[in-house]
Amino acid sequence: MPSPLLANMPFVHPTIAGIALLTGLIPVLIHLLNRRRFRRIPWAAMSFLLAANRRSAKRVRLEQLLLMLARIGVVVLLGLAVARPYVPASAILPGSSSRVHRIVLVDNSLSMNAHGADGRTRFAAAQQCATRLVDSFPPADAVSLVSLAAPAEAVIAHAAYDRRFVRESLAAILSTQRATDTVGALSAARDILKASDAAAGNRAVYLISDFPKDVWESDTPQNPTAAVRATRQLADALLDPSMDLNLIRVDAGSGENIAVTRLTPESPLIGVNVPVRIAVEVTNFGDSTVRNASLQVRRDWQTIRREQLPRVEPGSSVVSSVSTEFAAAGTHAIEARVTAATQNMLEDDDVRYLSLEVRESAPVLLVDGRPGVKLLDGQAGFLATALAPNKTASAKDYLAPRLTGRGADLRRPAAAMEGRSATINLVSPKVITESELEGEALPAYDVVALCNVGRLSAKQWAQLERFTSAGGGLLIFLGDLVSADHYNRYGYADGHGLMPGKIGRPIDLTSMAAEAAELKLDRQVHPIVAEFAAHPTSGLFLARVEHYVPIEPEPNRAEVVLRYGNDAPALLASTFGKGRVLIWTTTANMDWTNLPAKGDYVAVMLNAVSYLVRPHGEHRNVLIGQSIVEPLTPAESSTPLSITALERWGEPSTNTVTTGEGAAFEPSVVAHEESDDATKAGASGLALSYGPVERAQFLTLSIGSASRVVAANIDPAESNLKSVDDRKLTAALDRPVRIVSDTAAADEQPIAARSTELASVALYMVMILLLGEIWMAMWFGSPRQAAAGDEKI
Amino acid sequence: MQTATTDYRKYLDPTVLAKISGLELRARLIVEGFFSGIHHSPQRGLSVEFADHRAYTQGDDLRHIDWKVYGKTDKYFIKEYEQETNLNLMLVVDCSESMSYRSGNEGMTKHEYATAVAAAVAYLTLQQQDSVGLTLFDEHLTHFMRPSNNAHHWKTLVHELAGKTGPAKTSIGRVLAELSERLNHRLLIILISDLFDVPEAILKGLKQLRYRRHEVIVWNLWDAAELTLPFSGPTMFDGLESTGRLLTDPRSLRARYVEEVERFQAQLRTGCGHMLIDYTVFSTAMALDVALSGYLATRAARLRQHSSRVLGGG
Repeated sequence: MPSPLLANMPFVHPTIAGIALLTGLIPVLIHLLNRRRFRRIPWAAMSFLLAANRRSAKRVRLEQLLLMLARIGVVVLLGLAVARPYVPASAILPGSSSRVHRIVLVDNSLSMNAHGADGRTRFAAAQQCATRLVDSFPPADAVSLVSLAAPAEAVIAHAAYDRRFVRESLAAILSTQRATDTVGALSAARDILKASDAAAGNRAVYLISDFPKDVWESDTPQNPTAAVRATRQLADALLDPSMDLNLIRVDAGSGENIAVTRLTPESPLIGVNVPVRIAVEVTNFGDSTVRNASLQVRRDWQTIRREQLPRVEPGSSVVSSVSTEFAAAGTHAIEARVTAATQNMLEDDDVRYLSLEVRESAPVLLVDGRPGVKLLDGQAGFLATALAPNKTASAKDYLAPRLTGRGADLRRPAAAMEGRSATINLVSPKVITESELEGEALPAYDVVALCNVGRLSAKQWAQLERFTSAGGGLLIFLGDLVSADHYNRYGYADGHGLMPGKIGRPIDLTSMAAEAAELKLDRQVHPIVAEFAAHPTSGLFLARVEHYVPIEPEPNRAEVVLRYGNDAPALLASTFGKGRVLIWTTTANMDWTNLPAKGDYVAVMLNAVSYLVRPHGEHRNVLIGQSIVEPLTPAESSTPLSITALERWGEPSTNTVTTGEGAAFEPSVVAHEESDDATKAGASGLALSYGPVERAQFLTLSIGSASRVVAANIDPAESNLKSVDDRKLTAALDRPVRIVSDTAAADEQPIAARSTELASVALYMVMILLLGEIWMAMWFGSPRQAAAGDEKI
Repeated sequence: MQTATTDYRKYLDPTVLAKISGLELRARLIVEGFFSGIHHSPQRGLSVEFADHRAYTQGDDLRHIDWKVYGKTDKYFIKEYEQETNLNLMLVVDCSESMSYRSGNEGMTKHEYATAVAAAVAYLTLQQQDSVGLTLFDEHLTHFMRPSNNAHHWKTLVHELAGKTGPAKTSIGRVLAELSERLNHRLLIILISDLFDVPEAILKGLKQLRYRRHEVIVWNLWDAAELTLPFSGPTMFDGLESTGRLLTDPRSLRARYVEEVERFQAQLRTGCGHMLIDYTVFSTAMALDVALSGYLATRAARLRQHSSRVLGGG
């Protein structure tokens, strides 16, 4: 660590300067060591030697002193040259140099694609400003370039002196649809500064951006944004930020922009021929009200909705809900586009894409704690019936597989098997006993429900933990068979288990007041029961519960969805790993409650399963800059793979490349780290990988004969084109930085070097001293010099 | 024999000689190598000199009658030649601690080199029927042997030379004064030393020898490293003879040191020149025969020059 003294010395590397000064001792030490390490010679002609020494002593001492000083000078000056001293630029010395290292940061994120009325984008203005800046820099100066689009990239990380190379690199920075990575770019600039060998006063940073409000402005001045904090750090690394840190703002224009900011299904359970609602959110980021905006929604390239939106007020959003259904399972493409008659500075965000995975049904595994002869006699019968209401399971369907030990498979409804396109169940439940649980491949199911299951082996608990932590849903119904000690030991496991709290012994509500046996909503209405909130007389609230198992949830670990009349939790929602857990403290059948007899039981259970179901196909909706990673089955991993980019209306673009040809769109097969058995049953551990995606669009992955649609979207945060106010930015930065417009910055003279480096001067002096030392050594040792000395004497 | 003489020469490198233990063998090698290099001694026969006439008596060899004197005096006189040596040499060798220095691991110390040269010169001299004496010193005269031409004298002399150096300092001025007191006859004195003493004291001692009419030759012996100070890097020099210590970078002192050495040598050379003393610098890196022959050739040339100058003047 350099001492404060050294840190204040005018050296580029003060530590090396300190070391250099210490190296001045080396010749002295060598001299002293040599004096200690002499050889000893017996000598007869001593009188002559003593006489010679008497006559030469003074001269020899002077010569040795001169030689020593020259040697010390050579060593010290060489070290100081490496430490690179500098002086204020006003002191001009021959052989000195005054180079400035200038780091130019160019914003090429999506918001820079916004254009004004003249059609010129902010990025074009920024690039022009950067080019003019680079042209105005003195030829001896070094330039580094950083682009801001996420992830920020040091286009030229070193100090480049070749101005043609800099211009070419600048021209090679293209506008993107990526988000802004201001923090990353500022950090990269700081790294470049850290590695820079320019003198402290000879460094300048130019950040050319539109300074988006979202990135730079915080709600409270005490809590500045990450970009502001990074800028402060960068300013602190510069000698005089008021001169050296230039924030160059390109003309942001009015910031009028309307965008589709959300396109999502309202339920994660999407089945074939089951209507699904898709929410489209349109936001007005401008300052004026947008009227007459129209919305067009397409499903698999077919328009399914064209509507005129109501007026969208400044800064507010409207949500349109579109209902549609899908005739076949597989991935489907949904596209929403807004068209506004008023000024709209950015078109890239007017459209949004969605890839939806439609499955025939979601497989749910029901573990029956006490199966009956008839389906409804068991603990899971009502639940199975509620989840698959379109097929009334006959005793035969239920019993026959059970007798053979394979469990009842209710997944394929009779209607579907008969080829009818009539109603179909969203969920396909399968009922098994607890002893059969171990034999089941849990990753094949979306949800596992334990219905009054008394005990499970430690292995089965571990199996469930793995399943849930990998994203599966776990639904636990308690009951008379449940052993509290067992559940607390394995299910709660001192706070590390699946359950969010300890359970107690069953409580009888029949002896209490009538209200205590009713179900009621918590103050915070949970989405599972949200639709009942407006209907206080619905069956859910009319149902009565006779017994329940009390549970004490740990604070902040669970949400109470439903409570009993005595405020005890009836339904608890919690998370475990990537998955979710729901605990009903009463039975799933009619043993302890008459809820299953109510019609709302079906809705509540479907909602519960929807809540627990892991969203499928989420990974096929990526943001710009992210990569597509599609897990492959063993069979798929050996088939030909290709990716096709689709233009706006489903037409393939020219960028279509199959495996083995070309480079731009070639997918690669990589090891997929998340492809454990819980993610995808039968996964090969391999995945198709492509990316990062650079444009908002649909892409079709062709895997053998099958194809899957992937949607790439822009980051909606980039749609807000408003810039931060200069005054607010200055106040937030709390540093005297320069904020100028792009036109002003390009016209003014670049800041001159504040320091002049003297390394070359030091090297010249080293050379002179070295020659002097050699000359002195030769001269002092020569007889001529001795003779000359005599003459003087 | 030719092969044998060639073999001798390659042993004259000090680094090779240093590996041969036994000063006697070293000296013989040096001398044999020396002879194999020159073939003929320019000094041959100089030792047979006319001494006196005496009256002929019966039984004398008629070949020795001086017929020129007979022609003048009509008397028979026999020419007598002196069979005694014509050269009385005193080798004065420094055995102080500073002479024990040797740079590097190879080669000879200055003392080893000095004794090898001294033994070789003694052998040469005795071969020519001349007398050789030996003086060893450090702070004082440690050993004194009067000149002799006895055939066995050389062995005794070599035995004395083969002794080790002591820890004592050099004090040449005092030693030379002491020596001059001891020497009665006129001698040729060869002083072999590194002369690590005050130049004025050395010159004073030499002056006393010259005053006694001795002929003096000074062989100033240096280790090669002492001439150039070839070290680098921080070095602690531990002075021999308790002269202190010094930690320094020799490179920075080299020029001054060499200059100090040269000034010292120049001072001695000038001082010796004034006293007609032959002063020569020897390095232990020099091959011994080359050093010897080089010196003898220089000396012979100088003597010829000196005698011709005397004749021309007469």
